[in-house]
Amino acid sequence: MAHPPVFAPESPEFIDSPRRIVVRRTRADHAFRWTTRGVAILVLGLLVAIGGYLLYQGSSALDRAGWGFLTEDVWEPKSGTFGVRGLLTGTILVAIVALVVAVPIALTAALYITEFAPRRLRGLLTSTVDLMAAVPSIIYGIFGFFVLQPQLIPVSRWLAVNLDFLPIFEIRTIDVKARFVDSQFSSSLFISGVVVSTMVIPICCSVSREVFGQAPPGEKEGALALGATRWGVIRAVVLPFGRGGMIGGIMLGLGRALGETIAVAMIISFNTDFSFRILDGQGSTISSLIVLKYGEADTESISALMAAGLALFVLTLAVNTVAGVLVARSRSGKSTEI
Amino acid sequence: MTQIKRRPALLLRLAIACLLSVPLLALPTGTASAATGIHGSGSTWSAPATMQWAVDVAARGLAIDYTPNGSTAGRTDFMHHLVDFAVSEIPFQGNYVDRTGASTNELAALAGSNTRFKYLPIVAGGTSFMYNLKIRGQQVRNLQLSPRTIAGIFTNQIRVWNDKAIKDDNPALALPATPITPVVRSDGSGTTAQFTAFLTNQVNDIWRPFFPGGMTSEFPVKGATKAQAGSEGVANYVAAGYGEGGITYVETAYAIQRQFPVASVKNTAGVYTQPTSDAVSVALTKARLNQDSTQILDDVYTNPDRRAYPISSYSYMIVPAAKQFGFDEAKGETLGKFIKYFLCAGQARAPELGYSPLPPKLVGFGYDAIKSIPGAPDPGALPANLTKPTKAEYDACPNPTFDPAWVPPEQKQQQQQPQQNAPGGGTNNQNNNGNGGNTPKPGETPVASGPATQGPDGAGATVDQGTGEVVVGGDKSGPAGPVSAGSVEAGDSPPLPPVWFYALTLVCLAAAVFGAPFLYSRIGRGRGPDVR
Amino acid sequence: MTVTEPIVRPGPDAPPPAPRPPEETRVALRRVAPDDIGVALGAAVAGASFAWVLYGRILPVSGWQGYLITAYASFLLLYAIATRMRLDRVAASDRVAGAVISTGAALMVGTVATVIGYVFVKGFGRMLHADFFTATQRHFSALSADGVAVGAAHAVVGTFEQMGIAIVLSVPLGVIAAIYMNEVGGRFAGVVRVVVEAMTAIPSVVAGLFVYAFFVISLGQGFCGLAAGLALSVEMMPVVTRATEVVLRLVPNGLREASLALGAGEFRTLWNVVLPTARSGLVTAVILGCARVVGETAPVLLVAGGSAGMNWNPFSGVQNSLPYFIWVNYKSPSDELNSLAWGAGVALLLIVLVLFTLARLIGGRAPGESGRRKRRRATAVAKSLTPEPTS
Repeated sequence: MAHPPVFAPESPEFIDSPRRIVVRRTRADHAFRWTTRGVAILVLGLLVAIGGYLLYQGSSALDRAGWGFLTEDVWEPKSGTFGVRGLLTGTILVAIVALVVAVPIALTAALYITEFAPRRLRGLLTSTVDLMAAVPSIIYGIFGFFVLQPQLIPVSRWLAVNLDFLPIFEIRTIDVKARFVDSQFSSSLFISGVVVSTMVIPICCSVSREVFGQAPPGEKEGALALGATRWGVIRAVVLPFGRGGMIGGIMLGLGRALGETIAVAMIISFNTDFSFRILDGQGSTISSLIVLKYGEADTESISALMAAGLALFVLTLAVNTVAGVLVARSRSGKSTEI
Repeated sequence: MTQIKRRPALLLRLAIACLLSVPLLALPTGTASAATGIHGSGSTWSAPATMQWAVDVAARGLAIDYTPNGSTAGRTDFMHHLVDFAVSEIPFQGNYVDRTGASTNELAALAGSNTRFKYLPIVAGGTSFMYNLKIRGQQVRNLQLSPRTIAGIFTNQIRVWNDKAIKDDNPALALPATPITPVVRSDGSGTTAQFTAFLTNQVNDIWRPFFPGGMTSEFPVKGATKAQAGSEGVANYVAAGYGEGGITYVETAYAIQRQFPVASVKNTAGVYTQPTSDAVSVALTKARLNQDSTQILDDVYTNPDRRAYPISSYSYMIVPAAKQFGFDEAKGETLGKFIKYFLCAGQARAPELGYSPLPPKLVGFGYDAIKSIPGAPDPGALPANLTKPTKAEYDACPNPTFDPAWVPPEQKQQQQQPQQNAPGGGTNNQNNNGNGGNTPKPGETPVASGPATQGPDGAGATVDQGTGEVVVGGDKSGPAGPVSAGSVEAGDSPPLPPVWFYALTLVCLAAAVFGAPFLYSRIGRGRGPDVR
Repeated sequence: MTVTEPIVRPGPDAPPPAPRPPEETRVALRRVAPDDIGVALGAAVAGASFAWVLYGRILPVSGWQGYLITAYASFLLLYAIATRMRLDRVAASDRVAGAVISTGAALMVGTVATVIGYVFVKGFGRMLHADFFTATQRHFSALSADGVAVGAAHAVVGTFEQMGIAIVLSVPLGVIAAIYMNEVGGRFAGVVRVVVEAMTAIPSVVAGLFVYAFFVISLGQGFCGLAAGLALSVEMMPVVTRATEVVLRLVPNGLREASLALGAGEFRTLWNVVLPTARSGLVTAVILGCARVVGETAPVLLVAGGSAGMNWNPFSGVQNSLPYFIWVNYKSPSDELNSLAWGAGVALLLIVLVLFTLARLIGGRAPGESGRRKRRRATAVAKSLTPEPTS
């Protein structure tokens, strides 16, 4: 043993002090530490460079636009008039519609998987949710374009005719009571949102399922022993326990909905005007702006698109961070130790 | 400047290439293609023709990739040196007008990077108005519009199909009260530029109050207007099931591909014409050309010929005129061969696609452009007499307009006399055979089936394809047509079921609600887990 | 648990206890009683009929969507009433909640099944066609004769090459960075973790825009498969890093400590203990990262350019990929190209399904758990190491 003995039991004046820990690393360990550290620095550098490039490019456009960037509707960076008010509204509205449609389905499905499903079905359903998350968005996009949109037009029309006292369902551009207005209801923020919801469901569902699954079995059994029904258990134990994680899952879904590009670009009738009317058959989101406008963007327009992308990035980052904190808090500690 | 920029990129590329070389060694080497591939982007207006030509020359080993992403995007790609050629209806703009009406200078950016380029016309065509309108379930196929009405529709002043202005254009049609959905391009587009140039020139008093900027590549979206990306986008929208009431401006080829009708537009002579190959050729005889071959269309809009389609124009290719930014002789050779093909043999395919072939004078501009492309093979000489090419010259360049037997459409005898009752008759295409309109595929030898060989009666397959059904449909959907009213319209509410149905439903309901628990409490007593 | 109520003890004058408690039955939480099924079926039939009466007459609804919603609402109402009459209020709310929750699950499964089923029905036949994997779009146009071979081979090749580039670039970097964060640690690791977390929030289209502006235009590299691979790796690297870190964190600390206590160095511990333990999880993380990027359309759309013919070389010239192929051809007026787009959708789905199944097969085991063969070997080794009992 190279180490000197730290205490000698036979010594009468034994002082109970902590052992000095000496770490001796081999050459391989040093190489390992430095290699991984170098790679980590490289990764960090790359990611910071990307962020920095976005920020740098975007900031030149932000300088040009000034505060108008947040208050302007039109997007004409070539002439220096551009802003994200309408775009941001559209982005958020699409995300809200997606959440309104997806959250009830995702949460009930998660509850079914954790509380109702027979054991054999549970694994199958879990796989289904994960599979749904893995299906590429372009597949949802063509499905939404060819299948959902025609089916949603009557729904939009019904909402517009019967709920037009709500400003969000109001229609300004046309008289909805007229005949043959199908085309006016297509390509709207509402339809885009419903299509995006198919992509939000799996994310929201898998996070909620995980959190619901961690509800303490003791308390559930206690509730059952006290005569609670299944719904009673869910209401009294599962939902309160999983609330944080549930909200976190919803926010993660929101993050996905905000950044969704292709499905929206396939459906939306692009117009950057500021409007809360989701049925009005036009609208825009930041990601669809980028994918539709990058081709004709000169240097200045690209920096303006970067600024819009930055705005989207910041929004998604904020949402994801809050979600991450909520989900992390709801999980019961780290993994088990041996 | 660019040389300095390139070095780190090359290093990066090399590093990544080294990283990746191991798995790539296993891959087979590229397909045997004799020439270097080239890539272009731009106009969707002329994309059906460009892509067809690219497919045609693929058989000769030329690899041409074309991305139809809109004229503005194509010009921008060319400015960024991302493509080897671009296609655009309008040249680079000294003042490019965007949706806000403000203008920017594209030429300055080109001059800044010292990019040398040349224009050449590639094909002629008509910007048509594709629409989706039904009268009692029957597709209308003989709509007629005057420029003022068109301007009214696209400036949201005319909002329903039974507006007085449209009725005046179509006295023969019982137009429904369907709202109009104008569908425009969301991207920067040469089609939009051609259309708004026409509006600015012809109906300034309607267009300018709507959009003071005049000609623009980006249509200002207001009111009930829908914006879709690309010609495919707008055409698909109008052709979709929910597109009823929609109308859009698009090159005729797109309507032909979807077998949808396009509106006849009233020309200066007061005749409503379809954008057929001949009508476009006739109109473009009045086109004035600048030194660089770019077009001035003012006289085309007001061409007094009764057969002219007023919104006709040429589409242009922008090619590099020097070795620059990665464009080398090998690429120039491919590009030169490609251009030579479509200026000559390729033009024979124009009518069947929905375009009109280029006359010899414009082919001359193309030859000049080829000569300035580095590495491009010499295109040969133009016909000595542009108005009367010889057989040998035609063999060297089998452009249908070079055929000694070619009769220019403007010289064909004015055979469409019945047009004087066009507004009342509901049709103006007497010279089609009305055989149903499914794209008749001319044989594999396109030259043989060119319009020239069909003599004076051959207004071209275009009419058959695009408008052949006009007559058929028109007869049916006119007010005097045999469509029985109310035969299709089931309405929203189903007919009221009889009383016994209600009684039965109520019984079922009661049985279901009260009977099932009773039954099950009888059968399942004592068995099954008690779930409470 | 704080019980505040006093416990009532049975006094001398209390009634005698019940002779026998009722026979206890086991509560089956995950099974539905047959009479419940009966009531539910009855309510469903009744709801459907009731909605037929209501529908279009009294309520302002139309279309099959309106009918379904009315029917479902009346079903819930009738089911609640029926259960209330049969049992009690608590049971009624339980049954209705159960019905709603089951409906949610059914809707979700229905959505997945419809999406995948629809795409398969539209495109599977076309994908099976031999052309699909051998021919390209180079020789096909609207005027082509019927017999012209047209396929998506160029898109398939592009997809795999771009995915390969993304994997080669992002997996080593991502995994090593995750190892650094978890195994080496320190304050700097926290910084890396925060930045990686932040970068997972980057929308894919913004990653594409970055590569377009920086690599394609500023560096003058032009559209190529490499650019698409770079965009995908920007997207993939944070995903892999994060997933790997989660997997490494699941490796029990006891194993590491045991290894270190036996005198192994850090690198030996990582190489011989941590990585083998986490192997299945690592592979799953990588595979799921691939599944995520294989269908990314936006970044590829911005930077790949999209070729009509085969381009084996991802370093120069435009390249296609399956998502790009779908994006271009789904709106084509040509039936042939349209069905090819659906076929490409099926191909894409199949790739995802294969990756997904692989991930399930490999990642189904918990960290440390090993396959049957390995376990047998391990027991054999353990047996040989056990000192023979000497008598």
